[in-house]
Amino acid sequence: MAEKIATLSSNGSTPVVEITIGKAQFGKYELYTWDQQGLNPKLIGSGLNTDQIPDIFQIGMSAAALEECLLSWQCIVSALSTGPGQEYAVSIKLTQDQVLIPITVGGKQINNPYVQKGPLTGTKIVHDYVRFKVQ
Amino acid sequence: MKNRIIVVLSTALLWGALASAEDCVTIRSAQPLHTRSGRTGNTFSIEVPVTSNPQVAGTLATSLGVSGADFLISFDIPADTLIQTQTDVKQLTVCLVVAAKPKLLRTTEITRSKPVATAVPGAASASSTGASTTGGNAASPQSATVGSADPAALDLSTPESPAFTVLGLTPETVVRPSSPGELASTLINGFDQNGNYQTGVAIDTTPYLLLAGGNITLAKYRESRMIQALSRLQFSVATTKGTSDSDKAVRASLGVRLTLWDRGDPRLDTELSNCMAQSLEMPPPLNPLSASTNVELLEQELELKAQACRTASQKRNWNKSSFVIAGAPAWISPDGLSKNFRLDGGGLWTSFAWGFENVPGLDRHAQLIFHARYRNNETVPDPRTQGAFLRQNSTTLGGRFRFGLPTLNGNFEGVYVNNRPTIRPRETYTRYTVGAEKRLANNLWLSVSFSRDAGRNLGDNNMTFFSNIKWNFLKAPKMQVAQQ
Repeated sequence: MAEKIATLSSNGSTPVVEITIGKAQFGKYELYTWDQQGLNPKLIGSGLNTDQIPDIFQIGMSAAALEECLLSWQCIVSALSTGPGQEYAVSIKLTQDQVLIPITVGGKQINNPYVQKGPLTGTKIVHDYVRFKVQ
Repeated sequence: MKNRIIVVLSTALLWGALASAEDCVTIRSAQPLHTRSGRTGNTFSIEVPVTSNPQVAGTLATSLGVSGADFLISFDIPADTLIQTQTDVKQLTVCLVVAAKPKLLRTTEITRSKPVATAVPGAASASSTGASTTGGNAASPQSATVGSADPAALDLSTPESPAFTVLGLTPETVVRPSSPGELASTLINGFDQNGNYQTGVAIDTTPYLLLAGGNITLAKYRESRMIQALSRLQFSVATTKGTSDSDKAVRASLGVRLTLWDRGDPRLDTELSNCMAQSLEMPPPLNPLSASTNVELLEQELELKAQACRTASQKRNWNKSSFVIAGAPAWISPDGLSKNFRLDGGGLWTSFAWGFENVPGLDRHAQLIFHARYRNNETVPDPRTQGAFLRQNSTTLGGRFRFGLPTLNGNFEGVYVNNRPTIRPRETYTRYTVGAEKRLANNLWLSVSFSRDAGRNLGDNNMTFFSNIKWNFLKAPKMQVAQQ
């Protein structure tokens, strides 16, 4: 599958990522940056969706330094109820200077925030990544 | 051809086991494995493909003295026996259900059974005719022990569907208030409160969470009573068909139900979320460019821990206090033809449950429910003229005392009923009910009740038996936690 490309402005400040684990399910997450080869993960944020701490993190590198780097997220989502028909939703919002960063897949723009959702049976690890390009 | 280890529990052994008092048989392993399971004829099989379990292939081969083999465990079972399996990453539990009553395999040491190096044609396929199985989960003969286990995964019986309630198809008159699931279906077969046999289905949903829940974190849910109320707003649709000579009507209803307050709501159980926060450990960084990590296995390991947290939460919360209001219009076709459907009035009701919080001895084992219901313009069979119907308004006030455990509970119920038919004198009577609910399997409940009316002047004061199988589907089988 084609990679998701997040296009940054070279003149902009460091991007910001916000993660939301919804559907009122239990959620726990970690966010990492990786180098161009997908190596050397660096934790940029972690947390829970049960507390009052904002789930918003500055990526901590200049836009230029992020060229071809990866941003990944991995979440543990677990249903609190054992009832049927549970669902999960994880959304990732990427901004630079408070403007949504365009995200494309195979040249076609997709939504930002980018949402992963579906039925939840028990516990699920939701994970994905984007690659940064700088213009 | 693949080599396979086969362990056969004979039919004789099985039938001997059916008379035992155990619930299930559990195969435990020290190593996580993927399995496939299926049923062919009278053989139920569980296969452990080595190709899907390369990380433990060596251990398996050493332990069982074979190499490059797939491992197959099969059971000969009676043709009319339903098998249910519950699997997790390190164990597999097999339960038999005969005539809707859980029956049980004997605790057995697999190593005492003689392995046979042959294949069973057609066994271990992914199909599962007549069987409820999980796929891609784990079991292992590696530790070579089999022990009985009580299924520890608890799921409370679903709340009565409001659409069923207005159609008079809940086993108890007093409706239990609690938070609904997001999407559930209930099948029902049994006698209604007029003594006529009915079959029906209801679908219940909470649209707010389904449609707008993407941005509702657990923290937001806990902060806002409005979000809690909207998330518990339940809509349901139900239809029933009478099958007796005196009632062949088809009925339908659209119900709405709002749980205004629920101290047993698992989303509000901070102990539950704290348990998950502590026990669900984040795996090492998943390399986005490499699929070397088996995420499915990690999920299974995490689910075991999550299930333990849920089980403890359900034990704490099953009888907590709650308050619900509901209403539903109804339609009826007395002859069952769709062209003859017409409005059949509607109902409004409310229930308040008290969980005896802070009352030692009762706070974990009992619940008292108060219920009030008004039903207007309802078409009911005329008890004095077979095949004829009359219309009536009715008011019901009552209470129910529930006691027991999350998986088995009994109840006593007493209600006062005031019926005001259009063409008969009004009647006031009392109804006393004794009932029980038993969890047969995850999301499968058997509910039975016996009731007796006193003081009826239109109908008989006969004793009525009501049985109800509640089955929630739209959900894959869930894993269980071992009871060591």
